[in-house]
Amino acid sequence: MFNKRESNESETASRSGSDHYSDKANPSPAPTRSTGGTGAAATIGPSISIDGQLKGEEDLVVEGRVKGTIELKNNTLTIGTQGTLDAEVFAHTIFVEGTVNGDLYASERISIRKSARISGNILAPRISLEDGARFRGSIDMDADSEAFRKAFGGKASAASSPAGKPTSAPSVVDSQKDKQSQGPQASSGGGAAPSTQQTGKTGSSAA
Amino acid sequence: MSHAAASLAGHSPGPTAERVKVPLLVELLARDVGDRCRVWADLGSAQSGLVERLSGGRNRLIVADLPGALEGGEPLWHHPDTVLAEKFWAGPVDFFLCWDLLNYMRPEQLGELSSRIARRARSGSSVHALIQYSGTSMSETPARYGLSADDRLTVVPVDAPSTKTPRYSPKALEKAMPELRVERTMLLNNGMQEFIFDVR
Repeated sequence: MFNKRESNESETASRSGSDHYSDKANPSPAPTRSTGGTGAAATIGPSISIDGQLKGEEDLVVEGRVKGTIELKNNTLTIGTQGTLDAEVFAHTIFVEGTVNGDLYASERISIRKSARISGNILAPRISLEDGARFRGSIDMDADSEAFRKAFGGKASAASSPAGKPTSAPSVVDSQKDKQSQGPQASSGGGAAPSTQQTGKTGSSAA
Repeated sequence: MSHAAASLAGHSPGPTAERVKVPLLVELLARDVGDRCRVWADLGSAQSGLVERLSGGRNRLIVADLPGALEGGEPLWHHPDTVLAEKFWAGPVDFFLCWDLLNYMRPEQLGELSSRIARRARSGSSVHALIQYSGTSMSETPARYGLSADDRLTVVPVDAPSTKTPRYSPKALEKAMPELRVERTMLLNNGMQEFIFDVR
């Protein structure tokens, strides 16, 4: 069900052109803390449909359909151009290229590409949106908001900065700590079984 | 063709794409509301420039995308609280951004919009709008807007048949929208008039 593929950032950049993630305010690349620098991410392919709760300790790319909840609080979620979510998402960083009906919470950043179609609330200290994206809902950039605290407690990396700027960027040290605490599954990268857990129904869609 | 106009993805800015100064909008963006989150309701489509501008502080941006509802043929496209579900409107709104949408509404639609705005507004809130004042025709579809880092607004008309402009005067707007009072207006160099309304 889950396939490993190259880092969502580099892969998407090559697919979409050099303007990808051209976040002027935040030119630094998105963190890849969970993969321990291996560049691999689990993928839910276009023919996969999941109904339930997804939790994990590694990056995830969704090209299929997910209904329910996704929790990757220390990792990056990419909703690819073919991906469709009817879900509530909690992640460290979220990239949206596909369709989302539901609320998105990121402790670090949400980046919305022009191909994205979103209906929901999005909440993150740093948000970038490309012109052409269709969005209906609300964008909460207040890291001091109650909703933000509820979603991430004091853990959010930029939550304590009133201007929405991160107080500390994710570091290599953090990444190594994550790697050690997650054990061999999460740290091995390519070829390792994904540590993403899923509960609920899984089936092939007609996509 | 300006660089900023070209950067508005999905549109090939023709010779009519313009960059205009919008002093009243810039003033509104700088307004202080004290030590709390500012709540903005953008009745237009989501745009990168505004998100970028607001992401530097304590802001909540509600995007209703009325142009999307108009394009989709929704009969109540001018009702922000019909287009956008109740759950997105948590709490009162400080600032409403209408862009050029009022030009596309008949007087009775303006009245319905203003009563909906008044219902969602915090005491002392403001409404920003751009009204055609010199041109006699405009595109049938609302333009796309992009706020630049230099405080100018890039206006990209959509390639669509043209229609007559209503050329609402300040008095006509106040009559059609009894819940709003004209606070300030300014003529822009692209044939539009910039408005800030107080919500009564």
